[in-house]
Amino acid sequence: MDIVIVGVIVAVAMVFSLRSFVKIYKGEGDCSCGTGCSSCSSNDLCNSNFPVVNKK
Amino acid sequence: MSTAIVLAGNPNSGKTTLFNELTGARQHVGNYPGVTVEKKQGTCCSDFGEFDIVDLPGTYSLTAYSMEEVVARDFLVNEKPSMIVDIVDASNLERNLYLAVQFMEMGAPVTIALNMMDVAKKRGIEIDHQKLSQLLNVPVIPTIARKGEGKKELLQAIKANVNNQVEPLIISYGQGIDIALDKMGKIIQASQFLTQKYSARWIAVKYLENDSEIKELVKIEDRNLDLQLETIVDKVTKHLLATLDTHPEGMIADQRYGFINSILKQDVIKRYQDENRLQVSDKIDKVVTNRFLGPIIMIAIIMGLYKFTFAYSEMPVAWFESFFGWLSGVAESALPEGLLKSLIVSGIIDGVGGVLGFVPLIMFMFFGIALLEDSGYLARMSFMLDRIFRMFGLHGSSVMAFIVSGGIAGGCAVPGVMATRILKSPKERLATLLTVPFMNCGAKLPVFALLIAAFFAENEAQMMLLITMIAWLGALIVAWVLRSTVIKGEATPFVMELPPYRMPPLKGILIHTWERTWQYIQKAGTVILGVSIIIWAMMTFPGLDENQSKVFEDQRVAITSNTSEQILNDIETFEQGQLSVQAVAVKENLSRIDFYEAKAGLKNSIAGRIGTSLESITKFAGFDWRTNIALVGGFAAKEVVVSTLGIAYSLGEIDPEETSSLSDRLKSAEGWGPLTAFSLIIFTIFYAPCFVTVVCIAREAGSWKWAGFSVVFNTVLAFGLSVICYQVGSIIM
Repeated sequence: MDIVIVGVIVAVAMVFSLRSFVKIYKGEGDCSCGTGCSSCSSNDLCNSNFPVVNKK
Repeated sequence: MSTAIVLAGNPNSGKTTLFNELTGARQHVGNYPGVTVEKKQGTCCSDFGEFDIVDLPGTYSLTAYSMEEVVARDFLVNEKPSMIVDIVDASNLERNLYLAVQFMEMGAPVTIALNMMDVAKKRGIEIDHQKLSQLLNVPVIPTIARKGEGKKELLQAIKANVNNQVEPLIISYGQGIDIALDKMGKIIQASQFLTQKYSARWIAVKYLENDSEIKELVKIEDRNLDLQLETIVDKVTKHLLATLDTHPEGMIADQRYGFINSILKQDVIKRYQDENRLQVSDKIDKVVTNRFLGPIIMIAIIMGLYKFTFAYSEMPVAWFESFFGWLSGVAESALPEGLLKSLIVSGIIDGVGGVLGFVPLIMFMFFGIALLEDSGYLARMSFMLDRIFRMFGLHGSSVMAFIVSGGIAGGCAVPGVMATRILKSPKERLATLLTVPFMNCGAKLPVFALLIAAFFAENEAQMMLLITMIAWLGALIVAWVLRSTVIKGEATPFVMELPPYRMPPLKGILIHTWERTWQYIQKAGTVILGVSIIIWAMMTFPGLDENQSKVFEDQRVAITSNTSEQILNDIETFEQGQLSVQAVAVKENLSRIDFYEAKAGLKNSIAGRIGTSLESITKFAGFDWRTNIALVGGFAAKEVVVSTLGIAYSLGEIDPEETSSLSDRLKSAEGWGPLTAFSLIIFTIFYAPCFVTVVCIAREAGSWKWAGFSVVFNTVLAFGLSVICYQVGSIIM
């Protein structure tokens, strides 16, 4: 029984972590910087309209 | 139906404060220019209807000199909002109206929010807003965004003027330029180029202002038009240089200011104090930004902040540690032996608890930073560090990105990377975004706090200051190397506006402190918890096989078979102090076997094997396999270093009664000492940024190549520096 419960918890943790990282990668997440993030609450943080450095 | 409005204005004029007031959002507000580097959206429901509000980055002009200006202009042109609310700093009216005039020249509908009226009043400035409104022909509403004053009137004015027809404002820029503008306007009109978006005269003005974006567009799309316009621009430029020794853009700016002055002089503004009298802020700056005193004061302030943080957080941190120790003890005794107990005690409580234990320290640090930020001192730091930054090939604007990233320990590299957007030169920007991750973000803070508490408890604040200095120095040297090799390029000039000092409202500081602390707690309860569980599993499975377990079981049997029943019963029944000498010896021998079995199990686990395989290299920096696992996990988020060490030293723990803190465990652990701790601190400062930062670097740099470079280069650099520290330290100590 122990191993089943632990297996489920670990599986949920893996799915959650993987989902978070994929979201961040796609720029959909809140960037999860967690500490001192002044501008992280914005939804479009990683997908802004700013031109990238090497655009020109 | 909702009305689309945008908030625009000069940096530090209070746009974000007004945005928060109108939308009920809690976007970050700081007393330094450039807080908003991307547009933010929100909704405001009021008695006057529903408004969709966009907060644009602060800009001084609408000419494409910087990214903020391009973003602001593109948004206004493409989205065509129903109203632009230009937030104007009433205490700097003349300069702030410069942007308002440009909006009006574009023919955009404008309402002016005359903000910071309280500051203006304190400075002896009285503004007749009705007269200003009448002369500019736009609504002008006095506001004090910080207190929410004027909010209703502003919304009312927006609603009342939203459908009014607006004619573009036409300013005379002097005979020479006006003639040139007429000619250029006709040519542009005839070609129909961009005239659906902008007026022909406006495009012509931008051409004369040397607007790179517009010129580039014309050059690419219509070479012939570009040649015609350039010919006129050359002619007028030569004429102005010969006659007035000025360029067209200088002349245009002068004339706009002339227009503003002509309005203000019509009894719009009255000053009851001598304009040249030094304001309080200027007086403070004479000392605080003094060439010699300034750096000393700056170091003293940072040192004071660290002293305050460590001194006041010591007791609550100890309470938190005791709480998690108690929780661990309760779980130990309440849960039956098995995997679930190990997961809850070692994986969750000791792992995540190690990170949450530093919540009070984080809270005090954020409180201090919020105080410095909101008072206006951080902008002074940028001003003072500009010269040093230029010496290392960076730009004055890079300083704020460094500070946001954790220049004073406790920031975050993600908004730091975003803050590089204010840099105009792509090369300076790239150099900055590659070096900001070296700053000591809030996620590194628990790692440092843990190691300092364990090995440098006597000099906590001094040690933190040293770590800060090492991070800054390292970042500057790396920037210099990058700017001298792979990112060579000219330096661009830096002009920074110093906002006035303000007494930060306690409520605002407490809100900032709590928001950041809450983010830290949320992260510990989500990402760190998830990663900790995975790392626990990696440290637990596959464990020892039957043959390996049998070796330890045989050792136990050998001891118990030579011990009397009575002693074995005593060990089960009585406390340590009540046992006979013989019973204590047997108990210790059995504990030792348990310890070696747990250690062998850990080493045989997936994470143990990864850590051990790296040990052959990392031993030169003083890191054992446990530290290696923690550092690999730290790529997900730097706090994971602490939670992983917590799990590693909890899984190796064999006495269930033992609930000491992680720093105590490290202090007594084999292979640990001040030198190893210092080497780990150096590695943590410089090694690969966390995953989120890497993604943001890739997005901002526009290439995964630079993100990859950041991971590889930083890790190699960190390892090299750690090895040097450890090896040199080993020789000396």
